[in-house]
Amino acid sequence: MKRLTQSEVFWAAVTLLALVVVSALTAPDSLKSGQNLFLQAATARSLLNQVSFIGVLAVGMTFVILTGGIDLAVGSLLGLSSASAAILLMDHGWSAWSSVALVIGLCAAIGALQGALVAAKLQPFIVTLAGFSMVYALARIVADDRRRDIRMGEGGADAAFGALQAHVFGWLPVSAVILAALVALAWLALRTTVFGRNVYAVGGNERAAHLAGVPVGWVLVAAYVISGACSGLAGAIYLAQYEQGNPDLARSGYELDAIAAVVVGGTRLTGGRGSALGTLVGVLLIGVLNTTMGLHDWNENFQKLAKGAIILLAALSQHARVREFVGRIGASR
Amino acid sequence: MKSVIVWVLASCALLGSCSKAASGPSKKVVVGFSQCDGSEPWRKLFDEDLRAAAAEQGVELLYLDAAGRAERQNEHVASLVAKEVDALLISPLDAQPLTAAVERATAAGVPVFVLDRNVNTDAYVAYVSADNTQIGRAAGEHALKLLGGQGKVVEIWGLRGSTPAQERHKGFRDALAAAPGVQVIAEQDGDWKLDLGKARMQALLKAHEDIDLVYAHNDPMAVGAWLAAREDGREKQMKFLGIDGNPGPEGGAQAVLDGKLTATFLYPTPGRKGLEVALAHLRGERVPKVVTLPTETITPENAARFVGKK
Repeated sequence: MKRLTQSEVFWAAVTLLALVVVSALTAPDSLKSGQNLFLQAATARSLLNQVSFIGVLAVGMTFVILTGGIDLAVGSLLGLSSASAAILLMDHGWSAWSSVALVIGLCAAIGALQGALVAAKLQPFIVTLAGFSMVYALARIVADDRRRDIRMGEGGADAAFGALQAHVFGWLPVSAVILAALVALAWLALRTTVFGRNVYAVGGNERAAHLAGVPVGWVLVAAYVISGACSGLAGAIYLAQYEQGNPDLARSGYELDAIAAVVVGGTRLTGGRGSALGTLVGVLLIGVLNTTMGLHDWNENFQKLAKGAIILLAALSQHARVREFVGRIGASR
Repeated sequence: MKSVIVWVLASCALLGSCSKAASGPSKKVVVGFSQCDGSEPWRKLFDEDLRAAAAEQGVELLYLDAAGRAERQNEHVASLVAKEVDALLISPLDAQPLTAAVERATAAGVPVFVLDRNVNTDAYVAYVSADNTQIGRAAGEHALKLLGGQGKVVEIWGLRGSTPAQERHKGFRDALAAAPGVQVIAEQDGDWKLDLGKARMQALLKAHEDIDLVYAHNDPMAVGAWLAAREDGREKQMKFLGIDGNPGPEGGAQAVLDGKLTATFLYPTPGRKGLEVALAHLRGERVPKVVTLPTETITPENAARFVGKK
């Protein structure tokens, strides 16, 4: 029990649950039929749609942050992936599978380049800042400076791509199922494999890991490859949901949303501690908060303030002195 | 993390009390408006126009700003539909990403009015917008008049690939095609921004000694180009045309009045007209499917009228 109450994921999950309950209780009713606006299939559907591609980005980001790094390029990779997939599907008539596989491979390859530079002791922030700019340019070049629409149905994109737009039971998006599967996979990889242990070791203390025989360079490359591949997948999901590949997604700041979700989920920006499950909770927490504030007509400025506050509180809750202080209050009772 | 819970609970309790206080058994017409990016100056003006019109008409306006993100705007449309608003106004971020959302809203029985940018479906009641191609053409015709059929022009683009930039480009070029003596000698991408407009113009001034007219796809870039020319002491040797003609001290109308821009072309917001059309439909009147807002040429002679315009 003590172990449970000390884990960040536990508290993040409790917060999420509390937020869901409060959201349901305080949600306004619809104007005519008087239904609770939060407890609706449509709300669940749009919430899950919204979190799914940011969640996929954030799962990849989790690996990088666990190694003590950061990947600022995921926002432009999202743009590159969505635009490239749109072009393959519409202009070249590729099948859904090969289009998605190619964009995931492309983004993973870019991730590998970034990872190699980080492994060569360049700072992750600088490497991926450069990557952000270059990938953004590449996305615009590939897309010929245009947003690329796709159409489903006769004469449009491969019908199989429509699977990414589908909903199970009418409210659960397939993209959310993919996110759940990805989180499970990441959780298993981090908890049960040698690679997972090595990721934590590199983030905990790179020198010690090296001395202990951990192939630090390869672990770093793998982390950025995973982040790149996840960005590629997220781009395909984005494309399916909005039927538009947009090379300018780099301008929307999704990389910061992914980082925020990872941090709120209890993963340390200094590396070595955290989990994929926490990231899922972080993504949902921010998503539910946004949805609830939207239902209450809070404007965008307040939503930004609230998101910032949540990030700060999550960071504070990880701070050694704050934990000590809270622990002392608990003990004195 | 415990503190987070307390904070979240407290803020939600606050939320709850606010919303309960606000909602009462009112028979007011409730109109939802989903704006794609309320931080752009022109869209701020758009919002002000719409809010003012709503206040005058005694309509309750639910305003949601997607801050430039397609997924937020999709969520906003869904939430306004769930709220069962009497009418939904939407100014979509882009056509295809919001098409399905508009179709769902219409299918749910909410009358939808699309403002400014369109969607790829006709499942709405009316589309209210200015016509960028027409405005670009007006700018081109004015350029021909200023140059007398002979001269060298540089064009500073908005975000290349965006629909308004393409249309403002096309209309302008269509008009210029009438006079072979007028040549566009260079094009640059200014991304709608004043600072980039200035930087691009600095480069153009170095490369070209004989620029007679600068056409920028919006006023901030045109003012940026004027700033660059002034640094070289060449601002009197050329004409500057912008588009938008926003009111207020930072707007294009003031820039014309100050002698920075030779002329600009009003890109009217559909805020007022959009609400008007929606209310007419709710009263049971027949409304046209497409409403095109006319442009106006703003010159030093009439600029004062546009500076304080509401």
